[in-house]
Amino acid sequence: MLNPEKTLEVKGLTKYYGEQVCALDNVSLSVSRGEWIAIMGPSGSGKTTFLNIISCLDRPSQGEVLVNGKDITRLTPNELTRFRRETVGLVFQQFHLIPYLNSLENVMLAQYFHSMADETEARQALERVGLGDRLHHLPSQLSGGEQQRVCLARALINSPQLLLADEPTGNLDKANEDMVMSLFQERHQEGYTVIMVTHDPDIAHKADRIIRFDHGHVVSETRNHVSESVHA
Amino acid sequence: MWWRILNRSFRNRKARLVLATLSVILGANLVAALTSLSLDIPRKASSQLRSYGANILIIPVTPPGVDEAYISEKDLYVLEDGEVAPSISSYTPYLYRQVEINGQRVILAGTRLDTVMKTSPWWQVSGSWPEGRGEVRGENEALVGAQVAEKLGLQLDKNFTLKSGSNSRTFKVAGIVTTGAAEENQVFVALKTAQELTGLGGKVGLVQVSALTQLHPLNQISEFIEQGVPGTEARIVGQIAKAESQILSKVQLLMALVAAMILLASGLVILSTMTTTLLERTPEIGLMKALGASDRRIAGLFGMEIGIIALGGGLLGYLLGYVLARFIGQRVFGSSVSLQPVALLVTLAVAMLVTLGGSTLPLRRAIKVDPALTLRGE
Amino acid sequence: MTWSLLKETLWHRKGRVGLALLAIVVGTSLAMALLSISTSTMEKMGQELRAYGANISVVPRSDRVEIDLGGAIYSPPAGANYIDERELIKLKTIFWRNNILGFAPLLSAPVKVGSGRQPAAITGAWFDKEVSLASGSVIRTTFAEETTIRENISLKTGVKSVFPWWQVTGNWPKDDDRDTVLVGAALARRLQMKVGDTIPIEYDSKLYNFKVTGIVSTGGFEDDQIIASLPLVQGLMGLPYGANRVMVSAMVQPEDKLVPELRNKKPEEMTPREYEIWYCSPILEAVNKQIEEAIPGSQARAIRQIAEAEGAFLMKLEGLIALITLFALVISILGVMATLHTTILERRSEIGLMKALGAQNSQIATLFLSEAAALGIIGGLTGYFLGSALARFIGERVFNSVISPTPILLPLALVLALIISLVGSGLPVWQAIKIDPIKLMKGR
Repeated sequence: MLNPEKTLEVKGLTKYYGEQVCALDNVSLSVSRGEWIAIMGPSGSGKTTFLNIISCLDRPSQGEVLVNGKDITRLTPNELTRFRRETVGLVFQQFHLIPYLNSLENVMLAQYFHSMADETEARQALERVGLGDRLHHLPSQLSGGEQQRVCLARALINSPQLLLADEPTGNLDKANEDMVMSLFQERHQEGYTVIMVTHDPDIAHKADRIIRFDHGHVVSETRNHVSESVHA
Repeated sequence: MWWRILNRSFRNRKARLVLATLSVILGANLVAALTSLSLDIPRKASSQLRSYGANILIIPVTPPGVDEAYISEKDLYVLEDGEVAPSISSYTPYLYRQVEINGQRVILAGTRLDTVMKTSPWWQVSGSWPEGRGEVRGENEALVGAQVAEKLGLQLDKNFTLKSGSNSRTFKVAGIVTTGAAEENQVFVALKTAQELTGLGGKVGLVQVSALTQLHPLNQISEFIEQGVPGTEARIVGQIAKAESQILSKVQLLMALVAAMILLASGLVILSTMTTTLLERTPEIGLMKALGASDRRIAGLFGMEIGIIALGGGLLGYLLGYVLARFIGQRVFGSSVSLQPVALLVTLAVAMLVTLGGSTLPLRRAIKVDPALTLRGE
Repeated sequence: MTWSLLKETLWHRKGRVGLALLAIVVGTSLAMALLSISTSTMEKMGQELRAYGANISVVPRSDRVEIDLGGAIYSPPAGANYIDERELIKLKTIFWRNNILGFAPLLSAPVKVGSGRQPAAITGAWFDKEVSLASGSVIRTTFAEETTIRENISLKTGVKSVFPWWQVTGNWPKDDDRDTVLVGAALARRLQMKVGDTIPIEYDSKLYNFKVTGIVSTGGFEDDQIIASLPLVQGLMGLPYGANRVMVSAMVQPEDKLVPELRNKKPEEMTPREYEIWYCSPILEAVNKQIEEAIPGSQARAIRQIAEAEGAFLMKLEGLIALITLFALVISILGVMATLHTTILERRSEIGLMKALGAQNSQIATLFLSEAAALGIIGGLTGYFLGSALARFIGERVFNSVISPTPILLPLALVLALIISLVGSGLPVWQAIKIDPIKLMKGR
């Protein structure tokens, strides 16, 4: 295809909290399928808010957000939820896992809400992130890095259009960080669209494009390298 | 999968669950015990109040022109075999006659001494009351009222002579009766003996009846008796009947209000426990929402968990409560409360209603929570 | 520092604090309400049981046997003694005068009634007579002391208070009527008498005609009798102010309430001190003694039918309420503690954080326990008032009378609430303090 499909298109996105606080001010950008975007900016710049909105967790005050051509700002809460589970995979800085379910079940949970829990698929997903031998461990029995990897496996299990991550390695040590980032890179090479919020320039430079936020605006967009977009 | 989630939740969150379930159990326990008791207490209280004595008097109707009328003793068997029998706790026939002892006029009462203690349990008899309270042993023993004994100088185990018309008979004082009422001025012998003495074989002058009102009201029982025993009037003793129904209704009301109060309290305790345990799971709910779970799904999962706690806790609580009610019944009334299916239903209903109902509001609020907020901050 | 921290903690967590407070208030009010109810039910029920009528019968001392068939006297013993009705007001001067709820003197005689001259009995009584204790009379205030009263004390008493189940179709005669009577329902049926009829009554070979103002129905022996005012029968018998029996309704407590050492002792066998205790106990025997002291020549006996049954019933009721109260208390306290336990459990990460910040165990414990104590005090106070209100409500609904809160319950409520709060919260806090902070903050 000559014209890469826009997985994400944002036009005039604005978000107010109350009357005073303007978290996002007229943000417009687009993301092509298979791109890896790094979002950077100081705290309070609106990057987290941006991520929340495109992950269908929050609603903008004004503007359009088109995911795969569909305007998510017009969806009802139920439709939004459905859209979220079908289109988006989330990885957070704080590894949020259900404490009483083991790794396998935590991944299956995402399947369960989407369609149907499939133990085999879940196992494979965990194997792919190198946790084949940690299937039955509870989160409290896993290290930080392992927990984050479970989150990654969970985020990917339903083959989402968008893989969104908010400082995924923020709580990890170097070794684990490297492991997790290499997993992201693998996914990117497989063709996943990744949008990652980070404050670490090293991580940001692994991405195709860096978008900087400040005070609710996009202040710069930098291309890292001409990527050979993988269009399979 | 759904089953797995529930299973894991129960297995791995033991402490909290135990506490939540515990409060449901305890609350349900109380409800069960109280319901059983308040269903049974009126019956027990009513039996207890029978110790006040006869609430129905069977009196022969004197036809005009006749001086004295009597009831046939054999007609009284309808009180034991007839339709009205289950409502009759006890009955005692009497035959009264004026006789002379030591030159003084005294009332002689022939009666069945085995039943008199049931109909009139307040009699206090000193002396060798016949063992086992059977018929007065031998035909020559009498129970003498305290006033008669005092004023005529009759003593225990001594003999005295009684004159009725032209008949004369010697009796031994087997016991002295104290009641603070008319009995103290009377002398009691076996019914047969009195009948012989007075030549009134097979007849009695009146019957005191102690009736239970659980199955039929008193006026219905009275009608049954009048139909079953010809030539009689079955009079409802106002003193006993009125006071009894007054007291019973107060006891019932008291129990009902106390039960309601305790029910409310149990409910509130269950509610606050469930709310607390639910509130602390808000991050979990936020996560599930972020994972794309619909509100309905989440509500279903949590609802089912709460439902299981409610049901399990309710059942256990009922069993405990039943044991409790039995114990109380035994201690106080000497007889146990019977297993009431109604109490089970009420208990379970309350447990479910309160637990589920109480959790609805916090669950709904929790589901509405913004996942972004919970995932961000904590 | 602790104080402002405490305030902040409580305020920010309004919701959860509210729940904990709710649990404490519920537990305490239930306890208070049940305790109030259980302590006053005996007395209130005792009053209700007076609906059964007189429990004491007072007769003149005599050595003649009465021909007594359930209140119908067939032949008065010659030369019998009588009680003077003017003495009866002295029943309101005895030590237990406030427990004497009512009394009714009776005088019975055998008569012949109706055109067929059927044998029956006539009984004279007070119906609702007003009697006064003149000012200047002496009343017994304690065992050894007396005072004179400053004002008249008057009361209305008679058959209407002592036999409340009597039903009259028509009108009751007045207490000084000398020519009107009530006819018992069964007798009226036999003689075919109606209200307004004249009934011929023969006594001692003299014939009288009285007007029937009402038909009385009791279901007892009165249904076969003629009932008239006391003066009417006294007139017939030529016995001014005479009565051959007085029925008294007194509020008493079961014998078991007497101190155990005195229970089976005869008053004659007691030491002066023991006698005083016995005399001043609200039991039937003591009241009888005081009645006999007040009315010369009288003999007061318990009507066992009423007295025994009352005692037995009250004991059972008390036992029932006591047991229910006990169990309800235990269980609800446990339930409340469980609730408090859960509220603390969800704050474990907080505790972990505090420990990680370097707080000592004692400081953490102090903070949480002072929070629990504050909740306990507030909850205890609220619970006391709520519980008293509940008890009062129930008292009014069931007994139409007020159960007033006993002041001693207030400190009791506070103590109870504090114990619930400190133990319920304290236990999980103590457990959590011992755990590694990282574990606390991390997991659940």
